[in-house]
Parts: sequence; structure tokens; C-alpha cells
Amino acid sequence: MQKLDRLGWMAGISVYAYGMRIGIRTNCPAIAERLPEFLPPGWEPGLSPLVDHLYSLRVGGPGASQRSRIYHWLYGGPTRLARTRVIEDVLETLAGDLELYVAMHARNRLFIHAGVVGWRGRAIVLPGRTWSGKSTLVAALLRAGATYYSDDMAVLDGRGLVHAFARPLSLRDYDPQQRSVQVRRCGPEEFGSGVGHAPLPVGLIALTRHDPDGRWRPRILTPAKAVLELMEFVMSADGEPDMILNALQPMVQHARALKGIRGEANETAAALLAAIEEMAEATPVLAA
Amino acid sequence: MNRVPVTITIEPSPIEIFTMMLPKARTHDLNVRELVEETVIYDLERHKAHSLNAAAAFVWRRCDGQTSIAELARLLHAELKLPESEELVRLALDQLARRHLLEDATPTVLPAPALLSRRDALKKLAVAAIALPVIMTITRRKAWGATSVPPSQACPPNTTECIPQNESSRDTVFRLISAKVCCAANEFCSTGGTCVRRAASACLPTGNPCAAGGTPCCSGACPKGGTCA
Repeated sequence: MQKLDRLGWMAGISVYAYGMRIGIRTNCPAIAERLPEFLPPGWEPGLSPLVDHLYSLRVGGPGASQRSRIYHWLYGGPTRLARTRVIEDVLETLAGDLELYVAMHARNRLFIHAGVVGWRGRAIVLPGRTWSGKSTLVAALLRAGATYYSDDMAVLDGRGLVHAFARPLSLRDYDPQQRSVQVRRCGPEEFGSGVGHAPLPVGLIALTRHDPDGRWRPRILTPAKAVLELMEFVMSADGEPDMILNALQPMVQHARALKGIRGEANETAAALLAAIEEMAEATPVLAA
Repeated sequence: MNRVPVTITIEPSPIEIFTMMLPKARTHDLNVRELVEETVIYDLERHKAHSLNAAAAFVWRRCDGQTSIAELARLLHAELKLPESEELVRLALDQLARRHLLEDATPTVLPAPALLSRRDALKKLAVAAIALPVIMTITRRKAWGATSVPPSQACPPNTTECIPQNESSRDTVFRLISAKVCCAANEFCSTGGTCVRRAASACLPTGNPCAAGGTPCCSGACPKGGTCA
């Protein structure tokens, strides 16, 4: 870390997000101006020069004399996170690590690895691992008229309400010519939807993963089983069980939890909306 | 020829042990939440979460160390309308014991041959599967197991650098010695900015009486009231 400190840093920002103070320093003032677009949703400028976590972004360049200087380097604390010639890759890594760091250390909020949309005053939460098809299902729900909250993180408060964590959706497209997967970022407006702002009570929890041959025939989970299933997707690093249960208990208490594999996203989205509508008729949502 | 003393003890059979047992629920280091008819128990020692259905939760709640298995069976019948069967209670106790939710009971003392399997219980007791005592368990993993990459650590192991509490002007984001705290609970940040192991009696924990000039409180200086905050 001391070696990093000696490198000479010309610009930086200090931000405050979910109770964490985060610093990012760089040797390139032009890059510092771009940093805000890679910060977690809901960040605020930090007032203190002291931070809980520090990123160091060393920008290389074509005119560098030493071979190593043609690379861009990113460190999170003393840990090297990226070394690449493509600055966009470094910034994507920074955004991803920042999001993960905030999710794991947030104070007074519980982060769950899940997509979230809003539907008539209730949230549909879609917990799932990376590559399970969360973003695709979120996109299908947005096309069907739902409001966007998040495609990767459900942010819960102590009352079990879900808050927006609205970064652009990351949709993966397979390119058969290149034989590679391209990540495409797009806003909810591309699907004719907008971002929700009000925290919502959870109406439906759908634990699912995509299987091309699958069909959405879910089984209903009891509230306690839903809590156990959700624990698998809780991001908190400190693992305060009290805080986790405080958020999960009210979350599941008035929600229906379903589990199963799904096939086509649009078909599943329609089934999920039908399920939440049915539930809404049975138990009208209380004013928040 | 030397004579070897032999002691013969007559031990009760496993079935007798079970019959004699007055099971007692473990209550320490558990975080318990009631969810309608079910119960979620988080084991703080083993970092496991258990979901108990109505029957299992009922048995666990009434394991007070004074209620016999026969009595538990009677209560189960009276309250949840399940067949009055000691085997049903044993099925619940076996699952509770295996998950360390009973005091002084381990799976090894439970008489396996006498226990019914879930399938046997369904046949013999003619109850619906949903009514049988069931406990589901998960072990809580590191959360980033669910994601692609672990985040960089805020407090990396073997950290020696730190920011003393009284020093805030030395650092800026632009030429920062990152504001690290000491990772180990028994370390504190010295004025030189390094983590130093705290002596066993270096500070007084919360609630302990303290005096000015004496051993300091772990939270800082001794407050006016003379009790560490």
C-alpha cells in the first residue's frame, strides 16, 4: 500500500454511499471527471478526507516509456483488481467492485443478489445467481409495464421495504461469430419503463433460473423456507444474523414465494404478473 | 496369574434411554424468529439457519427438560391434532438433536433402530406429509459465493497500517494512506499509525467501573459517571 501511496496521485473523489466512505484516486484528472457515472446509485459527495475503502486507478498511456506503463491498473485497497489496456474494462471493474463492496458493507440496509421491479405498489423480487437470467426476466417484466428498481441488487430496509438500486440493466448477448458474450447496458426507457423511487413492500418472490427446456411450474414456499432460500443470496459480509432476519422477516410475511425453473422470459413474466395480481386482490396493499 | 478386575455394568438399551429422556431445547447462541406457524432458528455458533415446520417447532418449544416424550406426544395431539404417537415426537427429537438444537442430546445416543423414517411414519401413522415434523437447514456461505468475484477487502489480513483516532488532517483522498482500522479485535491503532496488540488488561469493557488516571475504558477515556460506556 505504501508503494501505491508513493506513485503520485493527481485527482480523486470521496463519496458516501450506504453508510460507507469510499475514496477513488487517480493520476489522470480527465478520468476523475468520468468517475461519477460508475459510482453506486444513491451516492453523495463525501465531506471527510478519511475513507473506509480506497481505490487507486493508475492510467497508463501509449507514450509511456516502460512496458508496464502501457497498462491501466486498478487497486482496491492493496489488492490488484485489474490490469488492462482498455480503460473501459478498468472502469467496469471499478463499478462492479464498488457495487459489491457497498453491498457487503452497507449499514442499515441489506443487499440481496436479486432483480427487482415494481407492480402496482408492490415489488417483485427475483433472487438469483450471476447468469441465472435475472436481467432478462427483469427486462421482460419492464416490457409488460412494470417499473424498474434493479437488475442485480435488492436493497432492503429494516421494515422489509425494497429500495431502488437502479443501475442500467446488463444484458448479455451471445455473438456466434465471435463466439463470445457481449454485455449490453441499457436503461429501463428502452423497454418503455421508468425507474421507481418509492420504497415498496414485497408482494412476490420468485426464485428461478433459466433453462431453455424448462417451463415455469413453480412450487409455493412457506415463509420460513423463503427466508432460508433468501439467505443464500444475502450479500452482507459481516453476516449480522439479527440484521438479516430483521429485514427478511417482514419481507416474506406478506409476500408469496415461488420457486422453480423457467423457460421463456416473456411467458414467465406474464405468469408472475398474474400471480401478483391474484395476490393483490386477496390482500390489498397498505399505504406505505 | 494376575487377576484382572472386571466391572460389569448393566446399561439401559437405547430405547430405554430415549424413553427416560426429558429433552431440553437449546436456547443459547440462537436467534429465533416466529413466522406464522413456522420458526426460523439461526445458530450463531455454527452459522446454520434452520426452518422448523409447525410440528417440529411445537416439539422444540415444549422441550423444557421436564416434559417426557409421552407427554409431548399427548400435547402434540391436543394442540396440532396429530396422532398421539411417541414415534412422531422421536422423529422430531432426532432431527432437533442432529442439528444441535437440544441440550445434552447427540444423534449417537438416539436409538436409530427405534426411529421411524419419514416414509414409515407416513405409512404407520396415516398422517399427511405436511404434518410430519420437518426441519430444513442451510449453512450460510460467504455471500460473494453467489457472485462472480469477491470484492477487494476493506480490512486485509495482516494489516499493520492504520489511522490513529486523533489524527484526521494527515490524509487526503489524493495522497491517501488509506483509512484502515486494525483488523484484529485485540489490536488498537497506535499514535504511530500501526496496529499494536492490546494487552489483556489494557482496557476495561463496557459496564465496568473506571477511574480517572486508572486503566482506561476500551471505548475511550473514563466518563464522569465512573462506568465505562
